[in-house]
Amino acid sequence: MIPVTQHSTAFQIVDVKKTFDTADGRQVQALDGVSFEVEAGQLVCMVGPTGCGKTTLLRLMAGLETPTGGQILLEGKPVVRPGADRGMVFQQYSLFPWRTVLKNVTFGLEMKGLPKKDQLKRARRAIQQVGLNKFEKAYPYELSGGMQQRVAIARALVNEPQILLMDEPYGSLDESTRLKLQDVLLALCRDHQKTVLFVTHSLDEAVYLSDRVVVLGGMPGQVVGDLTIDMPHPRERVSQQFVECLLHIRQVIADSALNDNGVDLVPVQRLNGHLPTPGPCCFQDIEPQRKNP
Amino acid sequence: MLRQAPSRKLLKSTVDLSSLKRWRHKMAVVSKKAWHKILPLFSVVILIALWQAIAVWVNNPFILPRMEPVWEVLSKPFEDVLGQGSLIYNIFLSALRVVLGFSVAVLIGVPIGLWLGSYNTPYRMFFPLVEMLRTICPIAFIPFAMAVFRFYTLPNMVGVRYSNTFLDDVMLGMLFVLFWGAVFPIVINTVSGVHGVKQLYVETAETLGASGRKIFWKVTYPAALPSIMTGLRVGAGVAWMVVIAAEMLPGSDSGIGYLIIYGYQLAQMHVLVAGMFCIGLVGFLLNKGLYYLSITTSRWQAKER
Repeated sequence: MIPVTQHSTAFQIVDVKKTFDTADGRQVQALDGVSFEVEAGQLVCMVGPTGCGKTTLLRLMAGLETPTGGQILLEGKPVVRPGADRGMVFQQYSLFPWRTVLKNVTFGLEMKGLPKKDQLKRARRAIQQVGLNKFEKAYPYELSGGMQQRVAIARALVNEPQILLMDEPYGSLDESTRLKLQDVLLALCRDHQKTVLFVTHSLDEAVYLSDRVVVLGGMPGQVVGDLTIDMPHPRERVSQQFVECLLHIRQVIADSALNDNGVDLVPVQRLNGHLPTPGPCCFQDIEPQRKNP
Repeated sequence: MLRQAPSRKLLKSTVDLSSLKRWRHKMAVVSKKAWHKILPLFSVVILIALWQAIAVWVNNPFILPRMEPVWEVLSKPFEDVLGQGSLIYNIFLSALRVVLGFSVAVLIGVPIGLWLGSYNTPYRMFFPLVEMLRTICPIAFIPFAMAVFRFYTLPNMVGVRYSNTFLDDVMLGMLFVLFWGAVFPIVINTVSGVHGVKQLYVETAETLGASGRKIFWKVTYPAALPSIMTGLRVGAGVAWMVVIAAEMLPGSDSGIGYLIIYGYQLAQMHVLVAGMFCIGLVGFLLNKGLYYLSITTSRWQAKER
């Protein structure tokens, strides 16, 4: 069930720890020894309950934060600072409000110092990819939330990064826009072979999009599950395979919550005795994680 | 075919009707807008009528002049007033002082504000001082400025005694006082503008390959611009108030502020009131002008709220 094609490794995350200092002098540990690898060309979703460090991990990969322990390697080299080789789409609306759609998208190219003509050409192509060519002169405040996120995706794509880091990009959108943009993303991945790391709260979104789902859990965050999803696109949300995958991930999250605290924190229906047989989605063999002292 | 013919006709008539309707609606919107423009004028008319009524009742031109002599002065802005030059001349001189003092304040205040806003150590070191110094009223600096700068004018600075231009009437002490009045609102608003730049925008720029200086000019500066413009507006308003007060004090011999204190000394109340009217008008126009400048540079901010 694991894809047999040979892939090179994009990210290697080795025993990464991250501790934050809060304003009142306390220390909060967000990540505690997270390790996994991401193959180039994969769409990997990271799911898990709030506060499990998904976003922190993504920010570490982007280079916006530095790990307090372990390291993150990108094609063998440690990540030290943000760069145009990793496009990032934030959960919040991050368009520069003083720039038009077109000027927002050309921002990265301006930073590269490309000639104006090429900037416009490439920006227009990127805007077309997300289907907003009619709005290139509009300002962000004139656009709906979904359109703004599409522009943010175009802005990240125009630099032609091999890697896209997406932090709950569709979290604040309505359901129908969300579904539409999921297909936009899949089409982009199909055409351009990007490595995508996609943080989401929605298990449905994770199963629909990804080649692989990494489940983070606990406080501080650890990898509690790692599943490969081998279903052809477009995926049918009401198919048995799909639902089984969904239930499986739920079970993993629920189990991890139990393990950590002895209390079922995740309000999901327990699925006693109904573990889906290894079918379209299956566990990779992950080493058992250390328990918190 | 048979059924289509009348429906097309119907369609045409509805199009006509709707365009007429649209036109009517447009006219209604236009006239409503015009009405909103006219409304404030009524308050001015009411004020003038009230003034005139009280003046007639008081019936003493040394206390409250009637509108006729005031209008007499206002209607001839290019004619000499009490041997001190015309209204326009004096307004121009005051405005020139404000423009020069304000420009110096902008050229010094904005860079200082950007610097203090961008770096933590200078901010912690100097900003408390800025907060202390700003409480010293610029008017209180006039005696000090007179003592330090005496009667030096701008041309004196380059070794010219008289340049025979308006600049001979611009004294350094006055410029310093105006600078003092305008610079603090500019610095403080610039600092708060830089501090208000969302971290998200900086991080976004970083992930798009920007760094250091480029982030400053392409993100921090444009994001802070609306707040900087607010600082300029406040600063210009303060400078205009301070110039009037400064011109009324000893050591001054021209400008609209001087004209009204001179009118007072000669008990020419109508000159005084006409001068006050001009001060109000110029201040109003100054604020409006800077307001339009600020919305053209940062339209996005007004819309975002």
